[in-house]
Amino acid sequence: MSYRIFTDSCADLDKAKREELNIDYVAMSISVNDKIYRASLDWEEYSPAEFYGWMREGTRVFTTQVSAEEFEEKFSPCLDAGDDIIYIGCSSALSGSVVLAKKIAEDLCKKYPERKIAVIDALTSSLGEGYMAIKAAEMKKSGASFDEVVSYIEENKLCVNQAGTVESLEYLKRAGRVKAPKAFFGNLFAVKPIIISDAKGNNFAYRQVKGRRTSLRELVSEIKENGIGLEDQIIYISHADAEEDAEFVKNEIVTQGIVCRGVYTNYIGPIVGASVGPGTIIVFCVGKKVEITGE
Amino acid sequence: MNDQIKKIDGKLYRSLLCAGIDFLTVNKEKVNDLNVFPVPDGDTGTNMVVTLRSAYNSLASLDDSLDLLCRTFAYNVVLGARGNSGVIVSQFMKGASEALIGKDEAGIADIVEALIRGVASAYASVAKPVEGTILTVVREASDEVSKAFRCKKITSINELIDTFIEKAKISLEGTPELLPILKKANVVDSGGAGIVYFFEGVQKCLAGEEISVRNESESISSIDFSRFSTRSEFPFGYCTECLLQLTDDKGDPRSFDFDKFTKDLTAIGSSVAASLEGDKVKIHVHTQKPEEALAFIHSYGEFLTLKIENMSVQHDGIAVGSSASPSFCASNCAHKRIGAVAVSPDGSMDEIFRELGVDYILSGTKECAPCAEDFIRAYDAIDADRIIVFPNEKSNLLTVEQSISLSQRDDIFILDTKTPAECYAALTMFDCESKDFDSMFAFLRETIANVTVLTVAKAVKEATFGDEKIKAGDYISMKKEALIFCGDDLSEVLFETVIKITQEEEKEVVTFFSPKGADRHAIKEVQKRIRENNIYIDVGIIDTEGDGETLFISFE
Repeated sequence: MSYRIFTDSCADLDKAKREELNIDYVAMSISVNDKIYRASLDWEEYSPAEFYGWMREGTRVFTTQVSAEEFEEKFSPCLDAGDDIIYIGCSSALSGSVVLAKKIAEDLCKKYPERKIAVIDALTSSLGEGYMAIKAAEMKKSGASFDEVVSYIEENKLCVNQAGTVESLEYLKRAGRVKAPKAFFGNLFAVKPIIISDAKGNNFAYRQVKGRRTSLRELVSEIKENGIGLEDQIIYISHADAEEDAEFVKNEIVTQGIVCRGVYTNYIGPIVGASVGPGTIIVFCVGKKVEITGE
Repeated sequence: MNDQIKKIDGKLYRSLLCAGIDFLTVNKEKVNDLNVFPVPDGDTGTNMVVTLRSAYNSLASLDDSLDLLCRTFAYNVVLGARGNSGVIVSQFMKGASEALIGKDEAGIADIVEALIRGVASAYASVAKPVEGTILTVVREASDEVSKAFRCKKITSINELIDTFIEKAKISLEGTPELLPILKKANVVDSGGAGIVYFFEGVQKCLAGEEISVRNESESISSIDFSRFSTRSEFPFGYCTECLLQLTDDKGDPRSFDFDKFTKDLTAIGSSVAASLEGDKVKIHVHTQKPEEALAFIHSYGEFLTLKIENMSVQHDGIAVGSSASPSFCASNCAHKRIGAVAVSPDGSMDEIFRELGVDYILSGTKECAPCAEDFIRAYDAIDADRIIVFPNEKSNLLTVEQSISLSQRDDIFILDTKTPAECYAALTMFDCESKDFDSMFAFLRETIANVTVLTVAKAVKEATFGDEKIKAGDYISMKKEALIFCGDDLSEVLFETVIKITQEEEKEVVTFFSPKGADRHAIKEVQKRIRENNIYIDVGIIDTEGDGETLFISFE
């Protein structure tokens, strides 16, 4: 019985990686200056520099979750071909896609009673979600069954740790996608938040530090603190048009004495990017189970 | 009267105090000028005068009973102490005065004892006593007096004081040898000088000389009452202070139950401080209903002095009740986990502090540093599980410590900030609703430990620092007492200073605190230049309401 791994526009995996592991994705959409674009992970219609350039200029970018049509269009052919589907979707605290997917899955399963569709709420986004898709795909490659993959991902999803920082909290605030102590909502000069993904899938700015460079070092400290078995892991870094800072973080991993199998870096895609803003850097690894919740 | 005096009674005690304070007042500016930088920051003389005079004034309506006067003076001098030197001198005076309690007259031996106790008390009040300061001067002078007394060389109080002053002056001259910064700036210790002037005043009085004091007008900051309206809120209650004469027609003063009186009073108000002085009671209480407190107290006697102040309308706090800021008032009244009290040395950052979560700002200008009582009033006004205090000036630390021990509270913590810039740095990281106080506090401490603050000021007089000669009018950047850069071009001095410190100390965040009198254009130019040269340094400018030209730069 074969199955397909799906994720969505929030997973920030580049084309090469997706093709290597046969990961597909359902797309969300964005709206910029009244023009609607497919939220592609491959930057066909605009480059990351252009996209984040719009945001820096002050242009508002609006995002829309995966539509019912998109789900049906993408899932139906697979189901027709006799494949089950595992969809790992963006945290339900950040997007309504997973909730919609569950409804669609119910309907589709009536139409295709032989087929199974598992909808997994990643409870995180960007490369945290992307990593889960990678893990699922790797498990599939080594012969794991549909149920084995689904249980493994469900049981361990909260062990994916996120540590991110932004240039300014204003984008997340405007998008309503961050929880933070009231005191952190000011736009104080040089005060940088450290944002984790909490147990409910929210972005939680649980503490703050002074200075951009310090914030980048702190991301690595979080990884060091929370990571388990890093020597066997790939560490994931996604960035919003902040190559130099991503490089700095990569070097910092070495500086802080962390041994790992490698580092995968990619751009933050337009959906997550619209919420976090240019300059954002997020680092992911697998480690301690996340139990903290913001508020 | 040129007789040799052998005993001091209440009347003479009062006169001697008055003369000492007057003579110190006359020489106040000289003491203030004994500062150790080319940049003026002297307030020692002023603080000592204010501390002593406010306590002296509390004796106004009392009988000439030495016991009563000493008790009252000892009690009040500590409460009203301002500034570092004010606190130390208050402890010296307290210790000395306490030695005379219970006596109708003090003889030579008693005064010798008083000096010894005064010195012990002064040393005990400082966590890390530094030699080469007022402590050394009073210690050496007092030791000399003890020695001379044992050798039977002292036959009158006049001689005692003469001996004290002679030795004090020698000790004062010696302070530069003990404290390098004094030597470098070629001055003696200002606190020591103040104490010498005080005792010289005492000496003159004993010799029958008069001391003429220019009329000092108290600087009372004026309150803008138009800020209050029918919608104003007054959450802080009234500070009620009085001296009550127990009277026969209201009960038997001899069977007056002081403990019960105090206990009953605590049911009416808070912050109760009362002391029984013979047949008079000195009372201090905070209450929303002064009429109830007064009625209660009045049932025991008649008021000799009576003062009631609306604490929501402050001389030296914030004038709460402005209809323009109802939210500020509300946040002050709501319960919070962690409250914050900060001293604002010049009012320059009050708005900023308030925005960052400070509940109560005490203004402490050079003319009038806050005293222990001011801090206690602040603590009472805040409804929080714990309170953090930011002294924001080196000289306030002792006063804050004093206020905490006087208030006997264990929920107040000092974050030892020496400048408003450090306070700002800490406040940017402050979360008043943090559930984990210990972590938050430790984090704030780490934050300020990590801050280096420099001042950039215009030199008012020539000076030499090592090999550097500074002309009057030069801009000089200083880190503590060390000169970093000097020059006549502000932009150059600022730029070079920032580059040097960020490199030497590996700092990445630079914040300019620019007062109204500073050249803000030059500062913006420097910010631009730094950003162009150094992408990893975050440079910010905070415009403050300060007058004058002195800038602060914080490095983190």
